[in-house]
Amino acid sequence: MENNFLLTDDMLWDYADGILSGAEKGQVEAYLQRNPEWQARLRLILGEKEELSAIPLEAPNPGFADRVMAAWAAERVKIKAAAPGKDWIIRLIALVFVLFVLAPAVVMVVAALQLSPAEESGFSIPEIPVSEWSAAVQSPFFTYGLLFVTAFITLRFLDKIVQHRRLAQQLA
Amino acid sequence: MAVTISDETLIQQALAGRQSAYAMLVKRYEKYVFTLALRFVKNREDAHEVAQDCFMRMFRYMADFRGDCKFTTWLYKIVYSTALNHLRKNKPDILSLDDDVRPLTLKDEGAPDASSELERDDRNAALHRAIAMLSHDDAGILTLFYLYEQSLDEICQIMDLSMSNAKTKLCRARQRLKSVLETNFQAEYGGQHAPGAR
Repeated sequence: MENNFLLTDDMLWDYADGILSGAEKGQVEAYLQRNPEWQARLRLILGEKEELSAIPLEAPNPGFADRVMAAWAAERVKIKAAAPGKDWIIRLIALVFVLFVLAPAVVMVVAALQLSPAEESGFSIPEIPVSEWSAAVQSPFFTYGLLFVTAFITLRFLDKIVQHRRLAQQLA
Repeated sequence: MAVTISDETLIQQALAGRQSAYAMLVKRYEKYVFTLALRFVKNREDAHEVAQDCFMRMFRYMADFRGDCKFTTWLYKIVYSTALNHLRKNKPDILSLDDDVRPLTLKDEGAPDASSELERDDRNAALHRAIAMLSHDDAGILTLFYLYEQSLDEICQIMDLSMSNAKTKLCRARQRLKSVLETNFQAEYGGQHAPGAR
């Protein structure tokens, strides 16, 4: 079987490149042992491989790296500019949220200030203002406020999706 | 003693927003990216454009690099796809070596110098120019395999080839290189010494 094996130049190159399978490699090695003239050819191929791997790299023009970095900086600025309103939406949502949390406290303080303590006698215990939460929840202020916040969160979410898509299109 | 920062460290630093890490990656790979781009697009002006595009894409998609292959393999895949896009956009009628007419003509460089150093330089230059005359696929696969020492597996990833296809392409690229050297660079290579020659 092995005696019928005929080594070709391409196969010898593949052997030198180390891309032959185990069986093929064995056949080539056996053939090389029997045929010293092919060993000389192998040495030549190895020399040529060395030449191929020693070709000097091409250098880009001077300042290439600086131009790349400048382009990258410009692109980052562009990407930031392509996402306007990001900050003000976040700030607005935060403001609405804070107002919503603080509003009951403000209402309580205002109610307490409107009480008229010690009108008839010199000493009296001020009444603690009691908020009627059920009324507050049913008030238009709460209902519309909640709608307002929900709308903003939804808009913010949509804004994120749109920005993400726009960015993906730019990068593609 | 100078300490070489690994690619992975530079990538992490770049992703953390450190501008100098980006710059170091560009400096480290500019020649590799440019040379490979030049092998594909065949002229320096376009190669600059492609190389710059590659680095832009590398920066944009750096966060996607998971380290499941070598950084260089990932980078060369970007070079390959960017160069192919460039060729499709700008040069749809690019000729391959199989075509009858070759667009590149060679100047007579004169007789090679007697000294072995100069002779090697001549052979190097001839090899360089012969590779430049190959089709972009042939030049690319030879550069990736022999010059950048990418394995066939990695070349399959870069060029999106099957293993058998990559082997065949590499073999054919060698044969075409041999043919170009024998036809155009007899003085430097003397026929029987051309890569792939019997």
